[in-house]
Amino acid sequence: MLEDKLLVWKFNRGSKDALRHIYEKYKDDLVTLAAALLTDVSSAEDVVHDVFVRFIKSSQRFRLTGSLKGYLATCVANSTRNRNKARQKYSSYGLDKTDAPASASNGPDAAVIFGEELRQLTSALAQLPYEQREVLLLHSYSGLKFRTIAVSLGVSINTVQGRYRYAVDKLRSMLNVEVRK
Amino acid sequence: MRPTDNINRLIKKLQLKASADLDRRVHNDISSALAESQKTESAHSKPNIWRTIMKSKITKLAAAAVIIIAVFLGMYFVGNPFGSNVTFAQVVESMKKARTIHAVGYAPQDGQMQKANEIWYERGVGIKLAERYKEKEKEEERVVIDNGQWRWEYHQSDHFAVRNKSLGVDDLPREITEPSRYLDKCVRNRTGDMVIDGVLCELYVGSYPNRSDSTRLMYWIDQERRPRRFEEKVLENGIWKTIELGQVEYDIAFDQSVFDPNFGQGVDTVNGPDFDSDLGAGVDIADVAEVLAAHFSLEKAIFTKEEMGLIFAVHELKRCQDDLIFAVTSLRPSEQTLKDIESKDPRARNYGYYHFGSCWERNDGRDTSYSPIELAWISHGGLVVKWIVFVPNGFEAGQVTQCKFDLYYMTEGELAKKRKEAGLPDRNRIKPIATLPLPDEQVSLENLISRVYDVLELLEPIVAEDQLTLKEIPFTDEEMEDFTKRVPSDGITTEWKAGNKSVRLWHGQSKKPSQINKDTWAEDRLTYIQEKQRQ
Repeated sequence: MLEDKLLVWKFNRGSKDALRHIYEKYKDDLVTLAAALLTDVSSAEDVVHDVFVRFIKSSQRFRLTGSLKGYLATCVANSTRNRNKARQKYSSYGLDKTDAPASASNGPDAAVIFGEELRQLTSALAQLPYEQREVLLLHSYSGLKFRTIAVSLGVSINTVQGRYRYAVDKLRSMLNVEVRK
Repeated sequence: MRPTDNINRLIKKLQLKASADLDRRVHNDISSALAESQKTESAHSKPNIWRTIMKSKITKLAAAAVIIIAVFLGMYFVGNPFGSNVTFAQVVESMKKARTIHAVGYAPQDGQMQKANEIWYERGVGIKLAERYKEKEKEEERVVIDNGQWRWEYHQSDHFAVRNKSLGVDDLPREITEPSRYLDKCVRNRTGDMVIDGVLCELYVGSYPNRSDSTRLMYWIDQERRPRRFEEKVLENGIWKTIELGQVEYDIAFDQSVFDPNFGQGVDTVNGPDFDSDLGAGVDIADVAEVLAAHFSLEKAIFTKEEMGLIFAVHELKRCQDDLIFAVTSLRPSEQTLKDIESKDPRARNYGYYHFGSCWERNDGRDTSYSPIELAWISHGGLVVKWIVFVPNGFEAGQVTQCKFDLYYMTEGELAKKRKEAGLPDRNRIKPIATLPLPDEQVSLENLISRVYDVLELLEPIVAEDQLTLKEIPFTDEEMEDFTKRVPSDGITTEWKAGNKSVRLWHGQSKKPSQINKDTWAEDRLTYIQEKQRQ
């Protein structure tokens, strides 16, 4: 936490090294989050790129009030949501799939992305409604609190917790996870 | 286990690597965007403390508080049509003559003028700026201290102060001179002269260019042409309101401790961008405990050995050019020693010390040794760290495959006392305590020496004064001349007089990074090592 504060302090003052350090520190987590949300690596990398372009521009204004990782994860989620909406819009206009800004594929790509071990998980994640997948990943993967996710999405905490519960239940049934209650 | 735990555990396994293409794109953007912003930034002047305060919400929120009757102001603003006879340049020249300056700025808050900033300046000694402002409805405090060597900046919400190199303390800070910037545009107004601190001050009134209808700047200048009081007023709904008030005192005495970097309990010092260097992850946080834990942890050590309640460790071992060996080593109390001997003050913790022998050996008619040359050491909280270069002697070129550590170590303080009382030895030599294979890869000794300096420079402000040292800085020519006078019979004096200039390397003194330039130290150490190799 102190390291992030220092990095942001340097970043505010135009330190290129600090910005590179921030990118190097969080890039893999952010690409993973975006890829799990979009089930498409190239679009995921575009999202992370966009997020960092905007972050760079905020150099002097940015103030860290919470966790830097959480902030960047929220940015990725917002950007991914926008892409998802755009994708749905393109689909509803009946455009050719190749013109879509993000691939809707979720089968073989997911397995290739995350490896065979996680093939079942990624394919199950891809079948979740986007809103549930988003909450699940932000909470379980990026470690954001329900309250923070609720503020970011502009919905109540109960809604966020509801989406999370549905997501976990569906995943469990899809994965046929054996659990002891 | 709850079902969600299984799902969460599975989700946490998701891990992708960003591609090289993304790295290239982002790094290019970082380079170009920041290059652009630096260009823009240099085109702007640095904001000053007074303007900062005026932009803050304190001012805006409480601007309605101080009401000056317009008719009264009208009397002030009947100016001299022939213009000012005191200029900004004259005022700055006069202020420069002061040994000390103390300025206090006020801004309206909750219906009253309240202290918003304060500046202390002592020529050649230090500058301190303290200001309060509101950030997102929250009270914030910023303190900047420059003592001529370092410059610290502290924001209350950060819980740490950032240290950078001094910007100098000879010149007046802009924050003191800047409010008088518009004095040239002001005119004398005899109706508002005022006695301040027993000195008659003349009033000059004006406004910002192009804002003459809505702003009023008022300066009270003493007989030595120095500003003693400053006010800025704005016209709101037909009423002039004071939005800034500054009072300045000259040549008063204040406690030197005002320039000490004390920001309160629990405030760490960290090094700012001036200290950026390739030290590796985590090192740029100058919290000494964190740095030491990150870099000299026993878990990551390549060798550890416990003896006499102390643990010796080797943290790094590198093969360098010309068969030279670089090592980072440490000695610290064991867990049991810490339990037995408690000390709450980290600076008072002293458990033991060590140095290296050469591990001289005679094998098959050949004498071999590893001559140790210390680069630096630190001691903090019971932990002693030493950076060493070993010069192997008696080996065939290219045949140095390992390093033998010949260790003299001694317990100190309470630990030594307890061991003596128990009839146990309080010192020992183990030859060798470790024989470690050298890595095949060869690294540059210059780079390693440079890194040692960086680490010590980083730690200098927070490690106790006498417990951090760059090892022997060789005598300068002048110091050698002095030495020859003091010790005329020394063999080195004879060598020196005979023209052997390299003998100055054999006399030296320990210094701290702030006392010696990095390049000078590194060059001296490398020369010293080369001389040792030639012997």
